[in-house]
Amino acid sequence: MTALFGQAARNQRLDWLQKFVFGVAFLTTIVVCVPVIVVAVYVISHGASALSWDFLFEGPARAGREGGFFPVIVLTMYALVLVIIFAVPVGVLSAVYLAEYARPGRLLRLINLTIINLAGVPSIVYGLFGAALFFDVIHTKQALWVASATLAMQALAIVITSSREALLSITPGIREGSLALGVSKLRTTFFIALPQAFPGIITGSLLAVSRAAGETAPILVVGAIAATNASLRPDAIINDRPQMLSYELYYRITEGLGLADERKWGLALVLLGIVLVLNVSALLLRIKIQSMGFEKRN
Amino acid sequence: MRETTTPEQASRKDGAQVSAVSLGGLPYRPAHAAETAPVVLRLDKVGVSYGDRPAVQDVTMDIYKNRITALIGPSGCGKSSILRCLNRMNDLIYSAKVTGSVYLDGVDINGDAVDPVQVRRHVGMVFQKPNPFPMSIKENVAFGPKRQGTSGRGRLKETVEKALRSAALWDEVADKMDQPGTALSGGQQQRLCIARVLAVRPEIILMDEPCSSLDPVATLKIEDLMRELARDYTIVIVTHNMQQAARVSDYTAFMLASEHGLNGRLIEYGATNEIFTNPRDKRTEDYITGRFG
Repeated sequence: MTALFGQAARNQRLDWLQKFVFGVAFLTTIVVCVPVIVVAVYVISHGASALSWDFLFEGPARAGREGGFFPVIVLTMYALVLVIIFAVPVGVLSAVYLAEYARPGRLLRLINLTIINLAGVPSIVYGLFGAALFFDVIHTKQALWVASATLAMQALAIVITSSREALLSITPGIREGSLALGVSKLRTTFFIALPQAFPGIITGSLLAVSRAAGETAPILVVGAIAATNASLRPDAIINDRPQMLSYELYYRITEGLGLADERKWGLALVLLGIVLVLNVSALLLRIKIQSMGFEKRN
Repeated sequence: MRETTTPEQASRKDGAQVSAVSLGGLPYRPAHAAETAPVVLRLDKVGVSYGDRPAVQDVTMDIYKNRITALIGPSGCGKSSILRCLNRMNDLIYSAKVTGSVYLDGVDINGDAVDPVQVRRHVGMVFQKPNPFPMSIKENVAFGPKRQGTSGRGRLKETVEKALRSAALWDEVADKMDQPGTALSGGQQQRLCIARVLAVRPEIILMDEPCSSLDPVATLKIEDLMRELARDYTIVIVTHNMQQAARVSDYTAFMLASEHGLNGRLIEYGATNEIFTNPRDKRTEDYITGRFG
């Protein structure tokens, strides 16, 4: 009896400990979520009143104090499309090389290390490098293109890493199954490996682009340098300044033109919205592709 | 190589006259004196090493057309490594190095001028774990022919149906050709993988423990199918299941390693009924009577 009783007492203690540990784990998770929710609520409550049809789909009037930010939103989309065009094909092809063709060894480890560090380079350094490369070496004046290419360099690291992971995580037997049918490695890569890695590649690419959408430092550098050689042509706003949302927001916050706070928060809300839409569509697209049944593994 | 007893000596357990043709110091004899079928694959001193570890060495044997040849032996004896030499699948393992020659219809498949992709069209392979592609049943079977240039809806449909019929799967899947192959049961998946191989019309089909992940009923179905397929194809099967080798194969090769994954050798090769009823080597006898392995 005593033994049983002792055993029961011990289990109760364990039970209590377990509840405590998982309770703490739950609390930390909540604590992580709180800032995200607070930021979202704060931005929405301050900026939602500024949002209107005109705010989203009209050009600015009186230096932005009235009217809307349609050009900025369009240019942001334009820049993000450029980022996708610059970063995704190059990134996916690099990932294909790394995952499918590269021979394991010292060189491969070195390349992988380099790519990991690519993601760790401070974004302002990318900005400086991009500006130097494109303005001084290539002598372009297309600031938006320069900003996009710079953002793309930064996005590359994420695209490569996530695509490579996606390729490496496909069932290895499937690749062999195709090769054993007398199908070449190239065709196996394009007809078997890439389609199966597709959800992972899409998700990684969209996340990389959403990061690029919110990135400010590189655009500021590009914008500042572009401004010094900006012309006064009427199309200057498109060609000579990277007039993207994050840049515009920074510019509006720091200028002394007395733009209503509400309009600044509205701009922030639009930026947040774009990033959230990209993130959520990455998630939904993944679920959608997986539910098509061709992702199922045994 | 410091062996105290050579396989040659060890094989003369009863002092009987061994009418062995000795090739490379191994006990070798025509698998069956009365065999009339032509040799389709000839292995000549084939060995595989991973890095500097020799996994298996000196395997010399002939494989006959339209016969089922089983490679048996305890795990780690190199039977799968040898099997993968027959369609150059070891090319895909960077550390693997293959020595010796494998002649397919008289041509050394390891030759410089030989394209491994072409070899694999002649020598197909079915794997231990069913590995259907993440596509529909129809697409799974059509995949090989399509990549090899078969086009036209009608011709593809015909090829797919024929392959599925040959793999004894048609009746079970005819009304759900567009469903994913991965949704089938394990045994059906394996037969789908066999159909997929049949669709590219190989001469030889290699099977690497094709039933090891299947239940007994599914296993029997695959075994029946193998007997059926042997009319048109040559089959080489690796199995750790001796009963399966005895039930299904015409020839059996017994392999053994000195330690796990090291220095595997072909101990004895012959007609299955002889290997199982009258093994010449003591080690073969020990293995098939269940004394080790």
